[in-house]
Amino acid sequence: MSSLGCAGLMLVMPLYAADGADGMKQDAVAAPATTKLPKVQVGNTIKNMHLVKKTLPEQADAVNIKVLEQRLKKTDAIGFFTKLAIRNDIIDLMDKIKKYRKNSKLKVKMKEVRASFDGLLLKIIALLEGDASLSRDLYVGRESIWESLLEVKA
Amino acid sequence: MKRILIALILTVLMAPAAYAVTEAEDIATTIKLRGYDCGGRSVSDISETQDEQGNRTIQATCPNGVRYQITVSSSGRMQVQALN
Repeated sequence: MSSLGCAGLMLVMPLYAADGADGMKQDAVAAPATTKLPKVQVGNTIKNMHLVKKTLPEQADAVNIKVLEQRLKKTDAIGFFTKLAIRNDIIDLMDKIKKYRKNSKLKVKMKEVRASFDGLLLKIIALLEGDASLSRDLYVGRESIWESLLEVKA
Repeated sequence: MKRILIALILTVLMAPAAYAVTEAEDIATTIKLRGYDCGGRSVSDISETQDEQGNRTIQATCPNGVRYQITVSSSGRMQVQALN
């Protein structure tokens, strides 16, 4: 049991070590007195961090939506006919978006389309009571799903 | 130590999977999703036919006594209608 506990701690500890209070103390003590980082280097690092922050979530979202789609197809919490009904509703919503885009009314009708999307998503989440993790992940990824739905071209 | 490990492995293996719905529950949910009253979570007296074009017709009776027909076209389009 103790070895398992140690393994668990080994997995968790590095996370705390990187962001923990000890790390902060070391920086606060060492930085002003001994090491002065060149301005250019700091600037580059900040720029790079900014890039990392911008690109990584987008990539993760793109993967997540495909994974969510597969999980929704494979889940046993909802049956074949229910999945088909949901699929019909999604296709109807996408047709609506395409129609509004074609008539250049999408911006005006955005609230209405978003309300339909929210209603449909809530319906799916309610149906997934037997698969709580998928239900939660769909809720968490709702903005990404919405954006991907809007990206569909006519 | 061994016993604890075995118990841990068994706990992981025996963890309940996502609840799987039956066909009767699935059909009842579909009827309700299309805005019809069913009066319960599952249907009975399910009958299914399929024509040459691949269109499927499913009939089932809800707990409230209403019999419904679900038509699924070969392209996947679905329609629900009450029969009585």
